[in-house]
Amino acid sequence: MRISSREKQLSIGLAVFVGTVTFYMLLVKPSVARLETLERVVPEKLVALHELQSQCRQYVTLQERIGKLQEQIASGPGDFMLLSFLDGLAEELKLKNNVVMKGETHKLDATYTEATVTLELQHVTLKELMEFLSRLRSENSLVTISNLSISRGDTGGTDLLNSTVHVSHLRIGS
Amino acid sequence: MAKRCIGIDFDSSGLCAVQMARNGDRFRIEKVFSCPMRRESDSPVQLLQSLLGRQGFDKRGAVAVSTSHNDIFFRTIQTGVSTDKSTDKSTEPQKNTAVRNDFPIPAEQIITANCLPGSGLRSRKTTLEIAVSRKSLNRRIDTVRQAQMRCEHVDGPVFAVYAAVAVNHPEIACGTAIVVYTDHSHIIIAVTENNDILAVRNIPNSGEAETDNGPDSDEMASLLLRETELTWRAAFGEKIPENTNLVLAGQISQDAEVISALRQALACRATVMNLSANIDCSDVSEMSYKYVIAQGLALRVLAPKDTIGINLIKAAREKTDKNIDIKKHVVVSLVLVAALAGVWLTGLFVRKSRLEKDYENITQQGRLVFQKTVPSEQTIVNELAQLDSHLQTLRRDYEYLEPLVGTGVNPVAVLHAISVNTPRELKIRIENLLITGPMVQISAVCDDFETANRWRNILRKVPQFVSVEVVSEPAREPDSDSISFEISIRTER
Repeated sequence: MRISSREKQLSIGLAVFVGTVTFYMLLVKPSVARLETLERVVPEKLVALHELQSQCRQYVTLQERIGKLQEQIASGPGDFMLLSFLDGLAEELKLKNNVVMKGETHKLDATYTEATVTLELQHVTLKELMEFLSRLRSENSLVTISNLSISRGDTGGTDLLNSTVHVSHLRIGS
Repeated sequence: MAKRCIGIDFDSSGLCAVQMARNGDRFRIEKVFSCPMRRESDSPVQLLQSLLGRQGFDKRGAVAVSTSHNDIFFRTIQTGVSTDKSTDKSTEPQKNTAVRNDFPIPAEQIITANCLPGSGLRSRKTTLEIAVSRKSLNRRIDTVRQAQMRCEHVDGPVFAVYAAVAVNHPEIACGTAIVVYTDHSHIIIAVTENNDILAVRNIPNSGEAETDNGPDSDEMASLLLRETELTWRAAFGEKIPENTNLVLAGQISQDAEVISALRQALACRATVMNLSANIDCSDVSEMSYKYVIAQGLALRVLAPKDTIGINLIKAAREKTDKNIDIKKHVVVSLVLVAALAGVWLTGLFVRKSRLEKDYENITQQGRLVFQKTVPSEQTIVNELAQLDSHLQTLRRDYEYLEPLVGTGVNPVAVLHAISVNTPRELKIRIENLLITGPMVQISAVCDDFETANRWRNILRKVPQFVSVEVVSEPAREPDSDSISFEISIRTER
């Protein structure tokens, strides 16, 4: 088949055009789209990484603290009874006649159990109350005062106080 | 593969076409066609189209046509020195103005060119210049192109005649010779020397108008004799020597009386041109004298080195694009565009590759950090969401244990701080006190507003207290001298 030079030039031009379009469609266009996506995603991903690193630090810190506290709880006496402890303390401070106690135990989750006692101290002086609360804190560090209410109430014009104290004790297991 | 060309000699009176092929050094006539043109009904374009249609000429073959006899002008210039091709071109600008003034063509329309010798070296000190009008040239080319033909070559009729003579009678390329060609409308006389045309006469054949059969032989012989001598004298300035080669082509080659008269008068070696002397032709009887120019045109394309002449298409283009080489500019522009595209593409792929690497690094880093923090997690889908879930669980656990930490102010310390910061002289009487976590609510009474205000200001200065706010403003109780008020304290956790 004879092909004139003009036809040859046209064929070459067409081939170059088709090749260029194919190259653009198959390689350049997807690459440009991918580049745009990467330019958007990489900074977002970097921000997410910084957030992840920050949360990881928080996680590690919390885990360390929890570990220490759990060790502290585990190191306490295994047969500790909150009601007995409070009763003994009241007797020791000669406040047994002024105290009414009511205890409860509830499970927080699979790991922790909390024993709470509501103490009603009636007709006590401020000094006696302070003594009781101080001893409560110092005798056992695992016993915490979650609520304290003091009122003069109807004490006949004396300096005697009525007080309600919520005491709790946390332990691992049931 | 054989190279093919169609030579077409056409004017208002008729058309002659020859399709020739070149195979190595051999030329072959493949097709010939001629027909007269009826002025009323025929158009050159239709006749040309019929070549490709009914006559079966090759549509892809290059086409060579001649200018009309009336549209081409010749001039012999004395150059003064022997020149070769390069110097010949260099002298052109200096001569241009003079040449333009010498030809009967408007300056803006003129296309001029020098005819270079076939050997490349001019022994004579003259140059043959030709001139055509751009308008007539374009008209010629347009006619061919309208017939859907590929017009590659336009030449003067004298060069076509000389090409046909030179190929069929190569002996005239050596030494001096005279070529005489006649047809129904024109007489062409060319004086040649060593394959170079030195002088040309293009004379209208006025005899045609006088009688139906043209001028009689005596008149023609006398006319040719006179004009031939004049042409020779113009080239050499002397009489025609004896035994000079004389080639007779075209209509004259059929007139034995004229040939004989010229032989006797000039004492030359007269040769009657044979159109198939060096060219293969299946049917020699078809090759009539009228195909001289058509054959010569085809030979100008097929054997440019063996013939001489000027491709006027090229000459016109060179004139137009003398200072602007579009092809070169296009190539340079394309190379620049390609280079820019290359740089852009390289940048694109480098950036993409770098970002892909960054993305991969960040992903890997996040995975490592997560795995190090939560080694128990085997399946990783979204590190951030999974870690957040673990953190929630841990925070809840910490809430249970937080009271044990003892970092905040314990109730005993709060009581102590309040007691220490309540001066006896203020006579503040606390009626109710409630401590719940970091919040402390106090209801108290005192003797006057100033005392309540002072006490509140004292409490605000206690370091353990974050804020001291008034819940209910001090107010005097009915039927009493005392002021009652409530404040709220936030302690450090």
